[in-house]
Amino acid sequence: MKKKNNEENHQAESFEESLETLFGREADLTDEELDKELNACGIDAAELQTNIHKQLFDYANHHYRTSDREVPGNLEKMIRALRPPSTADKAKAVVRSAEHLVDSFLDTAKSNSAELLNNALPAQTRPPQFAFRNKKELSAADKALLQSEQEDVDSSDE
Amino acid sequence: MNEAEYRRLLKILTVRACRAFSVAVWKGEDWVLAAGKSPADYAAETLILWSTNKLKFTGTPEALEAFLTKVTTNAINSTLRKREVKTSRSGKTMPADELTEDAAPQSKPESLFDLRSLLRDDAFRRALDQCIADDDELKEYVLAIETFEDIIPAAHDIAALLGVPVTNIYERRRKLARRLGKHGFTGSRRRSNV
Repeated sequence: MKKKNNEENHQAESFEESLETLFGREADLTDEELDKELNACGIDAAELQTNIHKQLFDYANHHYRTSDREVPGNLEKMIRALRPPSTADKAKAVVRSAEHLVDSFLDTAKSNSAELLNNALPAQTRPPQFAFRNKKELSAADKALLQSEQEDVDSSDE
Repeated sequence: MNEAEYRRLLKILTVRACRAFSVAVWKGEDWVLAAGKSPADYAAETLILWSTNKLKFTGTPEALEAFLTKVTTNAINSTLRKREVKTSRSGKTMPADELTEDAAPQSKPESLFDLRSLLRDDAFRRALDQCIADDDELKEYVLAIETFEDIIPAAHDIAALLGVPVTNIYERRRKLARRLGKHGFTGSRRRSNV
């Protein structure tokens, strides 16, 4: 029996080693890469989560809840973590994704229009722009600037 | 562990089960697909064992993923070793004592999934070659693994041999794994309608 176990362990180790040498360790994959690989195997990550949640939930009911036994902490946490999103959660996610889309659209539009303006007028020829219309109080620097502008106008009149 | 880590753990274990299934199928052990359990079932089983404290794990939290992937591989390996469940070529499941015509010699299970044995196995090699036929980088990668006859090469050994950064080897491995899923496992699953 012991010999059989040793053989089995040895074979399992070889198998593990072969898989890791050929394909690398799964733990090194990002979430996105894991999803891609699951997808390549014909498995949808969301569907997988839902199915396994059901299996674990049924297991907890059958082995613990129906016999009034306490569900082990890890199992309880896992069931909670794998719980499929409710309709409200899904709606929130849609709103969040729409907001994100609009934000990124506005950001792109802003940066594109700024870039267009910059390209339309080369920096060296562009005079500095000042606006004093909405200023309640003028600073000393503002007053000096206005004064020099006024002098320019007066001198050109002469 | 937070909720995202639990979800990630499930994906890791299922990907491991898919890889193990695919290699088995490439090796000609199609029956494993019809034996009644899917890769996700193996992942679920491991999670149940762990979360109900039926597995002894005393390592650090970082080592948990590696430990549980090993448990999943062992479970699939045990299924592959069971001789009482075999299947006909059509993918139908039947007990071994009902098999009267399939007298094909079985490989010794002890050497079934050792890397050298795998690469020398005709069925596995044919499937692997087919999968990488249109990709020179993957062909080069497999050839490099074969070059190391006495050791199981690590990623940096292969990278040094090919003169590429080790990250390039990681990329090739991921690509090969995705192709494995597409060409091996799902193809056979479609064929055997499991």
